[in-house]
Amino acid sequence: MFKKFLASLTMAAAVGSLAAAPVCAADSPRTNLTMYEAPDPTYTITIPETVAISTTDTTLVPITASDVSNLPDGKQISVTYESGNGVYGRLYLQGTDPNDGTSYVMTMMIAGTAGDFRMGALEKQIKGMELASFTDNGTENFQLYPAAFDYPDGTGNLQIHKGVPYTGYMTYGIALTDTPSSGK
Amino acid sequence: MLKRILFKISSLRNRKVLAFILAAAVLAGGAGWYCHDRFGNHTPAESVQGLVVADNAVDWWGSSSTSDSQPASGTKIPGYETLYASCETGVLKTNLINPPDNTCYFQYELSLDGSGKVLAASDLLPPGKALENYALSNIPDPGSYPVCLSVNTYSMDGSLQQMNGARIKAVLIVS
Repeated sequence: MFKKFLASLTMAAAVGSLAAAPVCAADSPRTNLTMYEAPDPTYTITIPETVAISTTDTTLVPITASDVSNLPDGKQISVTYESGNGVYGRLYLQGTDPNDGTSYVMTMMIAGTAGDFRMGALEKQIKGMELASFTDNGTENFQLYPAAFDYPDGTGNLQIHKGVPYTGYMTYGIALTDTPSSGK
Repeated sequence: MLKRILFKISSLRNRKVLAFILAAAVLAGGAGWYCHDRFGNHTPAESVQGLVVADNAVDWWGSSSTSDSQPASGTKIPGYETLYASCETGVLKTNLINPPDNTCYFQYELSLDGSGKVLAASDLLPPGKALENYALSNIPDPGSYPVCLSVNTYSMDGSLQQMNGARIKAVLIVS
């Protein structure tokens, strides 16, 4: 009996102390202090490991952004053309005729988000060209085609030579930039 | 007189012999070094172009993808907006990773944007590995610096053929 009385008393005291707390707080003016620093943005850009360039049509090359998080407002992930395997970072493919050993190059034409094609031999015009931009997860394509398409009667390096395996590679620039609408 | 002449001839012979022995030793040493470097500790895949696989990398499995869609095929390049380094220890506090899904080696090079001064150049990093507390060869004074983090990629078929890569613009904070 005594134990029950003691338990009831303890409960009543606990409830009473909780009820009293807001009254005390309301009586004392206070300032709530908060602090928050946004975490660094994280993302993953997937670039194609290999691209088989069509010899008859424009090739779409996909760039994918995934796991995008904590991207600040007004910022985007911008993927640009940085350089190719050619001299001065030019974008062309190289190949050797397996039959006679003759070396060839094939300049590529490239277009990014602006849509207009530029010649890969003009490195100053294509370096920094934006190929894709993202504010969230997604996939965008940029375009490539061999310059030979523009020279139907071309010869030498303005012609795609059958049986010649052309190869090359390119390097992309990745950076966070201001979105065009941010006005910065 | 005869003794002097004999001594001179003998001395001349000794010099020639000595020179021959030295030349042979140099040639043997050079051949030994070449053979060790060419056929020694590294497999052919690891020693092409002077690139070797990093022996200080740790396993890295990364975080699970938050996107529901099918993962894109290709080379995954992790984004780095800010890199942190310790001036006191000279190490990079940000892990440099090669995501496990990739099928190529990564080779990282960190350089100051503008001057191009190289702060660090890693060995080859296999997929699913990370460089933790990577020691910079040059550590700037405390401050904030625009940097370029080059991600050079190489095939894993033994030829170490260079593949599509990336240059990430980031900020290095040294404290």
